[in-house]
Amino acid sequence: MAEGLLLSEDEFHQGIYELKELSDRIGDLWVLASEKSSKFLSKRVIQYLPLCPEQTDDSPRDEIAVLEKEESLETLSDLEITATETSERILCSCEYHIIFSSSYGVPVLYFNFYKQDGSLLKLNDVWSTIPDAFNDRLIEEKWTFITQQEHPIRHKPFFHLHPCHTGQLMKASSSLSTSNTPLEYIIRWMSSIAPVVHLNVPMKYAHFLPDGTPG
Amino acid sequence: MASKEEKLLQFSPFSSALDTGFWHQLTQLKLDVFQLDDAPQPLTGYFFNGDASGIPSHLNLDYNAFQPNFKVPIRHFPSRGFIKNTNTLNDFKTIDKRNLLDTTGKEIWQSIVSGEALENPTLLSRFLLLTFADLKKYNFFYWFAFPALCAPEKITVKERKKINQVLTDEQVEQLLIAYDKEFLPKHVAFFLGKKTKTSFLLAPLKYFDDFYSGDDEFFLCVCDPCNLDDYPGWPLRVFLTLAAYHWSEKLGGVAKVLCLRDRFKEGVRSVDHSLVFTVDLPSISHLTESPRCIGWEKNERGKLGPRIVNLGPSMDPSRLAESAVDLNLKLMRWRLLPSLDLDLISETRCLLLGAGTLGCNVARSLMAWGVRTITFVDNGSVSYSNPVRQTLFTFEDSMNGGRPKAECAAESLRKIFPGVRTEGHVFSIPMPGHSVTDGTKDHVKRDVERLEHLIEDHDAVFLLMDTRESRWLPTLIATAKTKIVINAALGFDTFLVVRHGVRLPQRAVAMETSEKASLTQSISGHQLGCYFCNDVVAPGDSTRDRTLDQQCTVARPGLSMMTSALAVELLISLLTHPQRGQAPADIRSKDEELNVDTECPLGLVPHQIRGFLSRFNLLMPTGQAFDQCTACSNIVVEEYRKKGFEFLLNAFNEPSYLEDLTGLSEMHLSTMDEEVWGFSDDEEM
Ligand SMILES: [Zn+2]
Repeated sequence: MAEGLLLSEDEFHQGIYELKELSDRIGDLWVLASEKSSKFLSKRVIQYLPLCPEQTDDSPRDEIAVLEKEESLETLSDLEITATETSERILCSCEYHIIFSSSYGVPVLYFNFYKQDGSLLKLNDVWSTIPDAFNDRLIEEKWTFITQQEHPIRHKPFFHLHPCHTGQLMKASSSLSTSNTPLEYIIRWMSSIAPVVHLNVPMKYAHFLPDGTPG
Repeated sequence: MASKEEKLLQFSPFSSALDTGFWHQLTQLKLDVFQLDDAPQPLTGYFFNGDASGIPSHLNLDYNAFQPNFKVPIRHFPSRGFIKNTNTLNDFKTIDKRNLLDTTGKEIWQSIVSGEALENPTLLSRFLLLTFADLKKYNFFYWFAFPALCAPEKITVKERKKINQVLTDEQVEQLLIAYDKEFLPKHVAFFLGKKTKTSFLLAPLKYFDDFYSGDDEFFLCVCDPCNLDDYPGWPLRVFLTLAAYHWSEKLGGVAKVLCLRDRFKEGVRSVDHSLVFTVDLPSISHLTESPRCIGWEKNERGKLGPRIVNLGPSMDPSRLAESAVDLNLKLMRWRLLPSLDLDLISETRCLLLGAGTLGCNVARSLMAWGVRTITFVDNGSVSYSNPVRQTLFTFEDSMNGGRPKAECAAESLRKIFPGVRTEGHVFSIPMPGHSVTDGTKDHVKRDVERLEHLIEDHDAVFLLMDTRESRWLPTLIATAKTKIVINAALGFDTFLVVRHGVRLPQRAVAMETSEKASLTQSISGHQLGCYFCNDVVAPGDSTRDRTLDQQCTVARPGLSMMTSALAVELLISLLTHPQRGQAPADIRSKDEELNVDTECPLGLVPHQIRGFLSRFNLLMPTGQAFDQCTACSNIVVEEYRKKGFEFLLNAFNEPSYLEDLTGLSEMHLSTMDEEVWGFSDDEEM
């Protein structure tokens, strides 16, 4: 089914343990999560995403308006500092999970972007946040295609990058280097997909690759 | 950078940042554990002093917030709180919010006075969350408070500097080494610091007495989630209350505060944006009562009020199923057929006449294509033999005389996919040759009108009934109303799927006989024949003439699935063709067809598909509309338009009426289709 350069589950575990150690050393925020006997890497970052804030939804705002009038509570602070959302950006919690796919034998990135109230960005919105530079690739290269899926461990909707071409991609990008440890595999893979989904992968990771480039 | 003018120290408040996982967990706990218990439940949130420039300070609650042993993520700091989830919206509105906040304020004050907060500084960072979860509509009302005690009442800033105006690079390095060793791994956000002649030292709050010496420059240190150049973040506020209570006198009413901001960019650490404030810190050790407490968060409109979030799209299982089904189809389009118009397909309203084997399987295939409106008409009930072949029914449906098929099929569709709009109508379709008496006339008239309305309200009609003659009336009505008709019929191991010609709307009855197809390439859609164009015998009571053998015949079990699938795929191809119902039927030879560029993105749109299962063979013949057809010819359609039910009554009652009208009787028995199409698609006769 899957082709190209693959990982075993043990190699994946070794890779994510080592990546977690590296992450700690360079101030990245990956956390080893363990849920329902599955181990995966998880990271949560608050950042602005390039997206217009939408105003309309079907919640009963009238109820809130009544409360606003009735309450006579002291204000929290005389200092008004709120998120500066403009017409081009929106503050989001971005949650990333790196999970092993045993059917494809590759790591898979699951992610969700939440607005501050916890509501999920819609798939169309996620597509529209993808940097322009990747639009052509998105249309042409199916492997970068972002879609919505049930999270394999939490069984809730998450976005993910389909793993069906990861093996081939990794084979192509690693053919230049001599060795390929699980850690190197995961760093290369992560670096190649990260920009599409606003995941920051510090250049410093590349220092731990034999040829010094993230692929 | 240093500013000398004295002004009040102001704090940048937290804003709350939740994720869907948190709301999922709350929902699950409410349903399984809390139920009607609205006692406050403990929660853990966290904040961060390492955000990128421009990010406002935020307190996060995530999927793990309810876990008792939740360890906050690396480089983050815990905030302990509780959630008060009310049972009703009214409780949410009327609960005494001042009292709720004061309760937490008193706890904080108590932990300061008792010294407990010196041992466990996490007690300084608290929050509370008031919620009401409307789980029917997936609306969550919520309101955060980040409690702060108003003591000292006023704190003035004497001086504000950047860290590197106060500490040398070496001292900063010493600070970070101690911080990384003692405080960061334990997620402790509050500690003490001092600059001696030789180094920079840190200590936990509880060691103040040993650590503080009047000689060294002393700092209250806080991990500061704020990113602003001029202001500290919220956690400092309660910390200063503690310091004013315990240490103000020793410090001589003045304190230096180090707001540690610790950011990594591209793997390189920077604390340069950390601030050092020198502030007046009047003593509050004389206070015996808990100071007043403030801290309710403003909502997104800047008002002191709750927020509301609707999570229907990501929590309501029906809506999740709907979007997953849509997404599946969109994936197919994205990857293989970019020009496919899925909206057009999903908006096509389909009327299924017959809810037997063909009806059940056609409905399933339509649903798989994202069709959202599916209506059944059937007069039968589910019998014991049905469920194994008729894929929308189960054994239970066949018990106690059996449930009406049309209603049962609709209900079953909704169970499979709640996003479908479906109805079942239980009535029989009037047939030619089945005479109507005065006693039954009104009833038949009502059924005819019902059928006329249903056909009017749908875009495509599937003819999937048991008998040949029951297809006559819907064929006629649909022709008159220029609707798409897909007709599927089964023999024992043969089948026919045919799309009827759709007359051009502007001249629906003006199909000229001279307009014969140029028999070279194709026949246009409006010239194509109907199911009856191939027959030269008008539909009559076919059950009457049939031999017992024929009546008991049932189709090979797989045949219905194949036929249903092809019927649906034919409709989809037709809908996808730019000319829709008027799409021409290709009459090239089979080999040519395979290589031809098609206008429809899905390929050819044949007129008929005839299958012969004994040979596993398919043919795609094309037939022109027959100008003496008893169901679709102009003369019949015109009579029906002019005389309506009166005309139909004649057709129902007089066996030779249709033949006489069309002139067919002259040719009676001259030809006969060799395959007996349309005698049974059901094992019940
Ligand atoms: Zn006809």
